[in-house]
Amino acid sequence: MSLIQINDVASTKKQKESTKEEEVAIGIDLGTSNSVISYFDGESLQIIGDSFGDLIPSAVYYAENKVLVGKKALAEIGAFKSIKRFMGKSTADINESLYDYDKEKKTIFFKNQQSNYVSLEEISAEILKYLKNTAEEQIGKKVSSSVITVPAYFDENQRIATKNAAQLAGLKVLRLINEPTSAALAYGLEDTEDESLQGVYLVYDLGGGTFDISVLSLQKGVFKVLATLGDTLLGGDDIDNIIMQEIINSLNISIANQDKAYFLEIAKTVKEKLSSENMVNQEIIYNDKKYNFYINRENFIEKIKPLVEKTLNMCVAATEDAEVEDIKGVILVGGSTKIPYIQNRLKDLFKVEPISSLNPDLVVAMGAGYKAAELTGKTKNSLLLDVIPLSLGIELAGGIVEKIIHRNTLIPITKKQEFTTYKDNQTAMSIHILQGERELVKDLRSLGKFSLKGIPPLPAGAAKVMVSFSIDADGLLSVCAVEEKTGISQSIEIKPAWGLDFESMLNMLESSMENASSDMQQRLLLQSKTEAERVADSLKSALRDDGELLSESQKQEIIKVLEELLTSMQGENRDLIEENVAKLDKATSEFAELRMNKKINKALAGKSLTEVEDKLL
Amino acid sequence: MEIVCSNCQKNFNTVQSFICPFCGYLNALSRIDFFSYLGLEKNLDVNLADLETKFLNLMSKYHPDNFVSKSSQEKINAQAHSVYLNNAYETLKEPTLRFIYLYELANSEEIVKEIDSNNPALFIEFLEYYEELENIKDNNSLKAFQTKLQQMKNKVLQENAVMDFTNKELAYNIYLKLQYIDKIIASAKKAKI
Repeated sequence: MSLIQINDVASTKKQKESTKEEEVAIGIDLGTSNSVISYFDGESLQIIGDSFGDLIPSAVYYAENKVLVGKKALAEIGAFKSIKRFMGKSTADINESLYDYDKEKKTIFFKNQQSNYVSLEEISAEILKYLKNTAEEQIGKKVSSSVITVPAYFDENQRIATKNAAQLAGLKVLRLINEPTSAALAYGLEDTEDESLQGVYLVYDLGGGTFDISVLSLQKGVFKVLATLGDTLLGGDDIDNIIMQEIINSLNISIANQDKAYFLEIAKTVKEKLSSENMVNQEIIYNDKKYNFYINRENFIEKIKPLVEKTLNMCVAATEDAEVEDIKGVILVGGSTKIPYIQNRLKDLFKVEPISSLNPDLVVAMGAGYKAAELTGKTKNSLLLDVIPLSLGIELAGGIVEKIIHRNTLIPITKKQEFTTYKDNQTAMSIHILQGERELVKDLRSLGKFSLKGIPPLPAGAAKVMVSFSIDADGLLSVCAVEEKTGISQSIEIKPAWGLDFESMLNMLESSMENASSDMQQRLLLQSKTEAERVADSLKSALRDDGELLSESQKQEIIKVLEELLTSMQGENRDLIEENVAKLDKATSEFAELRMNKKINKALAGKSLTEVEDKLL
Repeated sequence: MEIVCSNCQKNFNTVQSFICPFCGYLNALSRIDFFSYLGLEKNLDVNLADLETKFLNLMSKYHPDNFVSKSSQEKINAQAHSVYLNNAYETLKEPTLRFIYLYELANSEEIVKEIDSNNPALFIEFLEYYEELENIKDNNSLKAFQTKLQQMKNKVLQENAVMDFTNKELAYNIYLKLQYIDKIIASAKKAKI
C-alpha cells in the first residue's frame, strides 16, 4: 500500500516539474467569425496576432497542397467561414448551407475546395493548428496546452466537438470556459479591493454567430455564475444578412448563390460604418454594373429592432432566472455590441452605463489567457463557479423526459435517480440521454443512448436501476446506470449521438476514404437495425398490453406496417429500414396517444385535488 | 472528524477541510453529513449568509481548477469533494430540501413525498391563500402577498429550528405546511398581473 503511494507522490512531483518547465499555455477564443490568441508572459497579458492583425479570421481554405487559414483563406473564393455554427450538429439540423455536404451521412462532412469531404472537427482543427503555430512563432516556445472558450449556451455535443478539434490539432485543453465568464474574468472585477464594484453583473455577448448572456455575482476572489441563457443561432451574422437582404431589395436585383459571400462583405462594411456615421452611401459593383445603396441609421435601427428586442427579452429572463433585481453593470462582448443602438437600449433597460473599456473583440480571449496562466500556476487562482446551461434528463415511456439535472445548477455535480422496469420480466432497459428545456423527447437534443442488459427477471416495478449523471468542471457529462440487486452497470461518456466516437473518428481519418465510408455504413446499418428492433419490440408489447384500445382494422393496419419493417430488417438496406421505422411511427401515433390518455386517466384516478393540481401547475 | 492522511499518514481533524495541514494533500471524501461537512449546526433554521461564506471558503480549496497539475488520485478527490459540496450547498440552501435531509438523517428512511389530504384544516387554509392570490389585481398587493408567505415560511423554520425529527407525525405535518407554502409561492411567482 505505502509503496504505491510513494510511487504516486513521485509521479506527481515529476508531473509538476515538467509542467513548470515546458508547458506554455495559451488562451483561445475560437470565434465564429474571428479567433483570438492571448498569452500571459509572467508580467502582462499579450494578444498574439499573425502578420495581418490580432483578429484571425476563422476561415479555412483547402488549396491544392496546403491548407490556408485566416486572412489568406478569406482572400480565396469559396473558403469555409462561420463553420462554428455547425459544430456539434448533424446533417438533419442543416436548413441551408453555403457549402456542399455529404447528404448520405448524419455527421456533417463538407466538400472542401479540392472536392474531398472533411468533417467539421477537422476544419476547426486546422484553425487551432494555425493558432498554435502562430503562438509558437511569437512566443518562441512550444505551446502544448490551452484554455478554449465556448458559448455558454453550447450543449454537450458542441463542447465535445470543440474538444475533439483541439485534440486533432495536438492541443491539450486545460479547461473549456464559457465566453461571457471569460470576458468577466478579463476585467478582473472579482480581484478588486473596492467593495463598491462587487455585485451582480450581466454579460451581453453578441458574437458573430452566437448570442450569450450570463448573470454573474462577483465577490472578492469569487465568480459565481447565477444564470445563463442564449441562442446559438443568433449573432452579428444575422445583422449582416438583414442588411444584405435590404441591399438586394432596394437595388431590385437578384444574386446568384455563390455571390452571397461578396454581398455579405459589403453588408458588414455598411454595418460597421453605421456605428460611427449617421448615413452610408455605398457604391456596389455587380455584374459590371454600378449601383448605389443608401441607408441611414434610422432605417437600420428599424430593420434590426426585432433582433435586438429579442436579445433584451432574454436579458430580462436571465435576471429573473438568477432571481436578482439590481444589476451593477453590463459588460459588452462581441463586435456587434459596438452598435450604438444596442448600447443605448441596454442602458435604458438596466439604468447603468455599459462597460466596454476593453476591446469587445478581444476581451473573451483575454480572460482565457488569464485562466490558462492560473491553471499552469503562473498566477493565483480566482474561484470560478459555473453552471450548466441546459437541463439534462432521460427518456421515459411515452416520449416524455425526466429531468435529472436542471439548468443553472452549479458544476461539477453528480445527481442520481432511481428508475424501475415497467413490464414483468423486463431484462433490459434503454437509457436515452437528452438535453434541453422542452418536455417532449422529439423537441430535445439527443446526446446518446445505451442499454442496460442483464436485469434479473422480476415483476414490473421490482427491479431498481440507479442512473447517475456526472458533470465535470468543463461541463462534460458522463452517465452511469447500475441495477442495484445484481450490481450490473453500464456507463458512457457523452459523444455526439449520430455516430462515431472519437477513436473511430481518428482511425477513420487514417484509413482510406473508401474503407472508412463502408465501415461507417456498416456501423450505421447496425445502429438502424438495433433501433428498429427496439421499436418493433416495444410495439409488440404495447399491442399485447393495450391492444384492446384499437379497433380490429386499426390493429391490422399497424401489424401490416410492422411486418414490412421486420422483413426489411433481414436485409442490408438501411434507408428502407429507416423508412419503415418512420412509417411505423406514423401508423402508431394514434395508438400512442390512446395509450398516453389511458395512462393519464389511470394516474389521476382516485387522487386528491392537490395532487391533480400539482400535476397541472 | 479525525482522519489519517493517506499521503503522509499523520492524524488531523477535518474541521477546517480535508486538506492535510502537514503535507497539503487533499484526502478522499469520507462519510460525513452535509451540516458537519460545512461546519454548521444541525438546525432547520440556517443563516444563508453564513452558509454562503462557508461554502465559498471550502470551494476555493476543493475546486478542480486547483488540481490541474496534481496526481490523478487527487484530481478524483477534488472532483468528489466539489460535487459533494455543491450538493450540500444546494440542499441546505433550500428550506424544504433541508427539512427532507434532516428528516432522513434522523430516521434513516425517506419521507413520504406525496401530499395527501389527511390534514383537512391545512388543506382548507391552503385553498384560502389560493383564493386570495386569485383576487390580487395589482403588483404592490402581489409583492405584499409574497412577503407575507415568505415570513410565514421563515416563522415555520424558526419555530421548529431544533425539532425532534424522529417524531414522524409532527415532522410530517410541518413538512406538509412547507410544501403548501412553497406551492403558493410558486403560483404567486407565475401570476400575471
